[in-house]
Amino acid sequence: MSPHQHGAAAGDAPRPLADLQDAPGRIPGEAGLSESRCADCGARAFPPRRICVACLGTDLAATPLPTAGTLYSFSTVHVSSARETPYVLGYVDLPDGVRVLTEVVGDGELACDLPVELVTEPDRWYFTAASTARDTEDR
Amino acid sequence: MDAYLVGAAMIPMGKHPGSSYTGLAAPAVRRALRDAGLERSALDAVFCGHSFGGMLTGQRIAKELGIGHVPVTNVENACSGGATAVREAVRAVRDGHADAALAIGVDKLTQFGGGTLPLVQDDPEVRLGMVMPALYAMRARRYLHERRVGPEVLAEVSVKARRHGARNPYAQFQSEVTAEQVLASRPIADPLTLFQCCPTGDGAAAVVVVSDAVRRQLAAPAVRVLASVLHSGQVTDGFRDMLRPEISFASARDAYAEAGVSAADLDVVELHDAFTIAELVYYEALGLCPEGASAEYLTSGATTHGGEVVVNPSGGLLAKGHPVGASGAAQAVELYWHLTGQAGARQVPGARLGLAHVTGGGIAGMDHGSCTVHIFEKV
Repeated sequence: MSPHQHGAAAGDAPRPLADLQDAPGRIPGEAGLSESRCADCGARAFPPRRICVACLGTDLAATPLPTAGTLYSFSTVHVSSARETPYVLGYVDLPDGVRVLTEVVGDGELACDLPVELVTEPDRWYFTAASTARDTEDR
Repeated sequence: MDAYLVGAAMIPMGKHPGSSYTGLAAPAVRRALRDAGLERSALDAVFCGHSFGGMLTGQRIAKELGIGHVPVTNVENACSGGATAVREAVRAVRDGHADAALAIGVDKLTQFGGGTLPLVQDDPEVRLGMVMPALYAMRARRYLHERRVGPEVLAEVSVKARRHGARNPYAQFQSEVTAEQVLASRPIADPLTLFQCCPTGDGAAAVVVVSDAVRRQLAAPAVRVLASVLHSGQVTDGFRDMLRPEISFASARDAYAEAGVSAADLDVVELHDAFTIAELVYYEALGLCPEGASAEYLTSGATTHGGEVVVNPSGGLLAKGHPVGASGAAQAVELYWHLTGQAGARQVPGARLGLAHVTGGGIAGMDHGSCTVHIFEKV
């Protein structure tokens, strides 16, 4: 039976995505974060996608997320039903066109359009002012 | 086929912890039917918008009013839920499936105790800590950055909302505030402070939508539905201009085209001011002022009584309150009252044309999940 035949052929049923089991963008044993890149159309996304929203392709490969970006906007959250406060959220635009919602560290020095860098730790990741990230690494 | 609003009612918005969803909504439905002069047996369909009422909320409300053996459809569209119910009622009448349809919007947020609205945990941004004030706060931060204005402009939105709400007996907040008080209230998500955020509250509203034939049999004043538009958001994984929420631009564009009117024709607008920054951004999205001009437009007084177009005479979501699924229906009620001269101390004199706008949802990759725009005309 052709895999492209329409209908309810056994063995060709759509399977559910185990998308709730992901730690989005983390690959076990690897330090950085990964985004998805569609093999068919090249569209990138973070968190990584299983189905490409640009072309509906399913051949998506993990590729390293760029670590340098620009802080589009941010906010220190003082009241939240989602997690313990305070924390800082921001949108970071990466050079490959992907926007990432991220925790941001370093409230006092933050500003829109600030260059920021990704910091990954075993159990968390965040973006911080580019100079701050370098200082941390130098130490 | 035209659709008309012939009856509309809401309960005062506020904290009603002793009321169930039925307890909130049944009095509004009863009053709307009474004001329309329509027998409940004449209803052909019921649509109920809510986000947190659980299964069969619409049926539980209809049941207590003896309404049965009609299709009852529950709709969930976050802040646009009530407006989506109105739109479905309008469509049912326009398409000839109903001569009379009832739209209900209801929600009870005090069940969560307070704080930010619980969002859907499946969403990757929500799992990172996204809450609605944070989303609007990032929009506000970007606005202050790009427009080179201070947070005083944001505060003026709340000052206007509370001044309007002080005239509205249905408003959750009926007291005025100063810009200083707004800015000094406790931080929620920087730069937004408490008085820049809609309150936790409960509410319900209902409108009766009928065909022209039914309208002519009733004595109640009527309002014609000129446009009824619903959009979903469009996902992107890349850059998005947070000052240009495309879902609201697109919905407004379609609504003006459907109605054959322009923003300059409007007398009264109820728009989605869940947070102060929203009102500024939506002035531009709805075409009330040119893109980039919203701060001056607000501070010029153009959007209050005596100005070009009165925006949120109810006090808006900031003062009237924002029980999510109720708000879109409550906006329709407010405009019905203004366009039929029944808005009391907050009446926009001689109002002929009104627009309602609600957009909602914290959903990763979109500016918002849903947006509804209605345009109503005095008959």
